[in-house]
Amino acid sequence: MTTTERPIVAPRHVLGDEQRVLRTRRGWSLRYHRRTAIVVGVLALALALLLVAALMLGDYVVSPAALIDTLRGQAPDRRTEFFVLGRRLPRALVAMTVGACLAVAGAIFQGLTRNPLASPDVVGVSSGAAVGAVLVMLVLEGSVDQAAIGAAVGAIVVAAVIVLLTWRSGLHGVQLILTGIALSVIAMAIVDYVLSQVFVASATTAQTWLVGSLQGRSWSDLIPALIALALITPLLIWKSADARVMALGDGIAIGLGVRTTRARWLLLVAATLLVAVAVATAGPISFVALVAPHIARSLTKTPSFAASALVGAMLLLVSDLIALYAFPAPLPAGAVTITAGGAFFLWLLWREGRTRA
Amino acid sequence: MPTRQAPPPILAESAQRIGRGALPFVIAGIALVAAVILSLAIGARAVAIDEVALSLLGIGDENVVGIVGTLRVNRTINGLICGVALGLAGVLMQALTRNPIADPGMLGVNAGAAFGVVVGLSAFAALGAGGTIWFALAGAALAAGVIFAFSTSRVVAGSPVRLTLAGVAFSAVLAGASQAIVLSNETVLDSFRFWRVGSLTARPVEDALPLIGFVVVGTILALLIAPSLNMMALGDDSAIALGVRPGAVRLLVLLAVTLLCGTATALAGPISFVGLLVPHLLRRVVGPDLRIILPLALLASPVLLLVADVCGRVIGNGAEVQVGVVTALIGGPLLIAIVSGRRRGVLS
Repeated sequence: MTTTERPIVAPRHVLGDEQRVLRTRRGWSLRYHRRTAIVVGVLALALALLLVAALMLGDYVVSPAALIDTLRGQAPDRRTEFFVLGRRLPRALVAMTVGACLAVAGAIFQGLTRNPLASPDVVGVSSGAAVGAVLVMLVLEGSVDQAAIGAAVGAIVVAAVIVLLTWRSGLHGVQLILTGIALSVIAMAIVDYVLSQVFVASATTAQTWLVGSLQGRSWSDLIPALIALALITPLLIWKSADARVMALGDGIAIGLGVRTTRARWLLLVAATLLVAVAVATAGPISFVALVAPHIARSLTKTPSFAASALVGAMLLLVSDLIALYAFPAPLPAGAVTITAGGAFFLWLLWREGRTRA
Repeated sequence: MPTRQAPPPILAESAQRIGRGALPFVIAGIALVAAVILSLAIGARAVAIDEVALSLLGIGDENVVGIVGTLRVNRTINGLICGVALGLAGVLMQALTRNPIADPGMLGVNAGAAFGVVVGLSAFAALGAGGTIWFALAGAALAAGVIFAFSTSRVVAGSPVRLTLAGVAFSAVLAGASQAIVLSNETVLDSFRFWRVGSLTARPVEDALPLIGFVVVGTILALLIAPSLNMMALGDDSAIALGVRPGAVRLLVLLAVTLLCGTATALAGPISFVGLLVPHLLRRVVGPDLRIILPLALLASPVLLLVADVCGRVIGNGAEVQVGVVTALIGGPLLIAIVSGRRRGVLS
């Protein structure tokens, strides 16, 4: 078997010293992990600070006082109002939402496959989305909004093919990853072919989209992603205990009364929808889905969807800021995440391999 | 070590083996001749074989001479060079990394060459073949060096999938850097998007011919180190006991792979899966002995590439499908088949 599986940790982590339970008089209870709760709080604070920075920074710098006034609805001038509320706030919120969607999808994939290297982009779901979008954009000559629908369809198709091909081996292990890599090579070949058949202007538009960009994202782009996240969050809260138990192995999970097949299907569908929405909104942003759950886990020491989501939101927001301001010309955010994320992935492989050897 | 092949015969019996193995060479030779003829005859306009022969001599219908004598000869020569280069590079990489699914495309060597070309294109607007090749070679050398360093470390030792993942991630880093450059420059994007799909018509034959030297050197190197590589399949310790110096062999393989992949990528763009499929198929037929597989790959790899190119001409029906796309469309499903066919655990 793959040695990338997490070792089975003593059940202390399922219900151990660090667990706390909040109870109300009416019998509701909420079990939480103390360290996770602290980390989530700190992350939320850091994210808020980043958001403030994203609103203030740019060619037109907004002062803290002006920012507070603008957010209270009393903008000092129309220019400030336009930049803060019209441009930077929606863009930052889109980045945060897309980052969170990707991170949660990654956390689900890594938990389900019990493989810390699996993520939607590694197994080709994002490439499927790319094909869908490029076909709609360049072959059917649809708008960028319609491309989003193509992206969603493409992601779902690839996910379905992967499930069909690897269901028998239990959706985990090597076969899943290699099948995913093969599928994404096929998908990218189709994308490259289509790109080579069109005018250079269309190719540039499509190429920018393909790297994953937040350029020009506005309030209307935010709504679908936000709705998807809002719809799927209750499911995750409901199923997160199951997911945590399933990470210990199917045998244990079944023994503890988890209906693994049903839980797996639900989580898989949720993850695919999250990726589809994220890619439809901002293009196939690479590696956030892979990296965010890792960072979250190293902070909380236990899998947590909430912490992953917050880390994902931060990662994409930071990447976008770096892409915008750190280079002579603004780049798409995806160019930052793919380069930094790929390097992180290599480091991760290296570290995992050393602890194993 | 799950992927390690049975120890190769080292002594006298190998001569006998090669004698017995003459049949695959004959078949591969015939297939190669057939592939060349197909490549010359089939296209948007099919040409009869006798006409092909005449037009090669410069006789006959002017149009036919134009199409066959220059265009198709050009892409056939490119196909031969790149096919040999990619197939041999695949054999070498699979042998050295002990990874049955290693491929210059998947492990990032092509992405390295591509990155080199992008850097070259953006630094010097009109980069001829002479300039491109040096950038491509530098990029390929960088990537191959990193991958081989990775493959010798304990970190991925014995785990083909970890090495493959490392390659994919490394490709992603290089691709990201390439994208960043390409996106800031529309002229570079315009030439890069054609070059990236992998096409045998990307460069005229005058550009290709001088590069044959690189492939010839790479090929000779590959054939010379085959016996040592064979012994390294037994593990470094056994190889040292048999008088092989693993460090030197690795360096020579690195050099050969760089020369082969760099040239192929400079000529035709990043073409994946030829280096994966050819060694795979050959191992099934003739076993793991590299002294047989390498020369056989010399004949068989161009067959795959030329046939893929012919397929692309036919299925595109006017809007030609580039050969890199065709090899990906053939190779992707086959990779899935290889992965599914193996018992679980074999690849881990």
